[in-house]
Amino acid sequence: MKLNRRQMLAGSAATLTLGASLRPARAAGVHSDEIVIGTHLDLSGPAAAGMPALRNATELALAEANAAGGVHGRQIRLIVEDNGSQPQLAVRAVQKLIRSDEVFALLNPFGSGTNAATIGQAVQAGTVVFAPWAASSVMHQVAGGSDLLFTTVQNYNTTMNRALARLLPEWGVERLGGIYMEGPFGDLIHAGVTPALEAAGLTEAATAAYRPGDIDFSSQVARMRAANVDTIVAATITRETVGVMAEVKRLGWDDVRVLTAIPGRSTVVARLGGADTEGLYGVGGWRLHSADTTDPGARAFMDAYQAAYGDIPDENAANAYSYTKWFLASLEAAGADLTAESFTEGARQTRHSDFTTYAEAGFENNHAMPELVSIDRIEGGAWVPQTEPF
Amino acid sequence: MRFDYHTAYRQGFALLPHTSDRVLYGLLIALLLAVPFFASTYLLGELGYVLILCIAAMGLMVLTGFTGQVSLGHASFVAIGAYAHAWLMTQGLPFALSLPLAALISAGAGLVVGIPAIRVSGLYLAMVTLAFSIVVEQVIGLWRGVTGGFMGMLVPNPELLGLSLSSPRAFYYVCLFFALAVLLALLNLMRSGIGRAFVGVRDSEAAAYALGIPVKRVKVGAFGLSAGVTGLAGALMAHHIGYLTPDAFTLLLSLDLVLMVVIGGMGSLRGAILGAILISLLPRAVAALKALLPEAMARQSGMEIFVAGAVLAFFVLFEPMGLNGRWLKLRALLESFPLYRRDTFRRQKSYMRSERNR
Repeated sequence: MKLNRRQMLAGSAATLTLGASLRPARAAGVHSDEIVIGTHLDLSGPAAAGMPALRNATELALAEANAAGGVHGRQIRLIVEDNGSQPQLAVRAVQKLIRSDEVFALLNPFGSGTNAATIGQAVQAGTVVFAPWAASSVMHQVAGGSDLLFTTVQNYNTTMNRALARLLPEWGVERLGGIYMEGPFGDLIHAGVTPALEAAGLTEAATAAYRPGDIDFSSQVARMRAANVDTIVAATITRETVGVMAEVKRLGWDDVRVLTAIPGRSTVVARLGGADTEGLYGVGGWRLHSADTTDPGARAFMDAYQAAYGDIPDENAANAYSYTKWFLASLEAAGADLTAESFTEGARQTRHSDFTTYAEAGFENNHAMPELVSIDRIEGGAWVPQTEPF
Repeated sequence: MRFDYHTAYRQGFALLPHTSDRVLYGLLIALLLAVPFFASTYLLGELGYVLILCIAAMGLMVLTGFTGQVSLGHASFVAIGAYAHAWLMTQGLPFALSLPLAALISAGAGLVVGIPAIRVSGLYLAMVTLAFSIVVEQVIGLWRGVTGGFMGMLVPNPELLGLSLSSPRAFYYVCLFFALAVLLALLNLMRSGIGRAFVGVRDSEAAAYALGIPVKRVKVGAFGLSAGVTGLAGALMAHHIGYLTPDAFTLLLSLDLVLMVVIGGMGSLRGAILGAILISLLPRAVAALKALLPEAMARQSGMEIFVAGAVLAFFVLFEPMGLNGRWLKLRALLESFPLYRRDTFRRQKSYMRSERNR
């Protein structure tokens, strides 16, 4: 019986609710001269090509902090695991990080399904999760509103809603159509479009769906054309955005505006699309910098990155770097006595702004706020802001 | 060398005919039961997952290894089992009832696929099962009311008689119990008339039909049984993942299962288990390997795929009988040590293929 009770207490959530009193004075992964943190990225799956940028930038920011003497005298060590974009693998990676490596925090873990499957476990084990690259509102739902989860990725639904609330009257939109990816991303964008249209007294003139990996968008664009829309919302990522625009251009359809969401507004789209994507509108969530930028913060980052890895960083690298800097600032603010609680306190006091952000941000309900957006347009092969961030 | 001296026909059917087998397998089970008392919780979690994959691989082995029906869509049965179990538990059904029901639902789905699938074989069957898995993935994504759509659904914690089973140790025992139960059930089934019928259909449909085996019913039955076992693994996997999204059950999982069965060795449950252990520990092994490699190589992405492909190619080229075949050879070598003949396992011209994969 004694054994059973101990068993029950051991791993279960009960321990955590029963209390801080049972927890060791020092948090996992925090040593006198070192803090161990972990992350899981898609090193072997469909998104593997984008991971070196994310990993390099995270390690760059940590290396800079370590070179400057660490945080409160502690060096930071990052352990990188593979999640292959598969939740099962992610669960094993996180179990290793939490149980075997005993990390203090997960920083910049990548993927929607992978994070959804692991965040609950992580916060239950008392591990901080900082800046998961996944839909933020869903992550908070999964974590049950835990204090240990800090999200920095803009919510696609609220940002799209915000952008449309301004654009619908400004552009005089009468008939709006949407092309949505099947999956959480498309669902979220749709959840932003619907209330914006309702508020303007409109309904969606046409909707079309596509599957991740589709390369031909003729039927979707034809449906938009048949409905005679004047604005298309494209919930598309890189290649799909280019595909939609190429189809619009092929039809010679000039009097339609195409607006893509935050993921579609990336420098890669402008570069890949060339003439096809000229005139594409995008909702921006962060500041973009080209390789010849004069912004001092961006310049410093790009030079440091290039010196370390011999490569020009993309915007994912910039974001990973920015989030890592924020994480470091939170560690700093937590003070020398680092526990999950003191980190939470510290992170909530921090204010963050750098070369990627539109405005100074802080954590409200553990999510980075305010979520400002800007409307950009591709002109001459580069994104040009059409509005001040709002 | 050892020669069996049987005094009754039943002795030929014994699962563990020799005392040494009984002692060794007994020790293995004792070890598996004792693991939680000295292993770290991390290792327990890993072992639990390996056991779940063992169950799934045994499920596919029934279909592919014993009945000779290819399936590239077994991840969909894992998914059906997982979602059915999670949904039933959110409806308030207890764990102990929901688990077998989920397996039954998955078996039902297997029967439904089996009925059209028996009309085709070989590559075409692979295509039908692949199409089925794509359909299932879509249905899961769009059936929001039950599955939570692409956003996913939370899996309730498992409980039995008021005791939580979600601790790594308890969950390990749950997985071990089901893995052993499935293994015993399938071992017995495969040496019964039904199992013989499966093997008969695999080796020659015409001969099986001539012997009075209802070929179509056997095939559909194998689909149902295989789907049920795989669905049981799915239900356990739901607890392993904790939060279900459709991307847990993609083609990658199906291919992993096929790899387990092929590398393990067709037509043997031991092969399924060995294959599951190898494939599930491969990512960990690659991660460990990376630590030893020079920095520039270790940072290359795609290492995992390369190693998995190399292992598969290695087995196809050098050990077509899989891990199980290698195991049998090793055992024969040990048992007959000084007298081992190199050509013992060289395949000879045979007209009776049925016994080839025993």
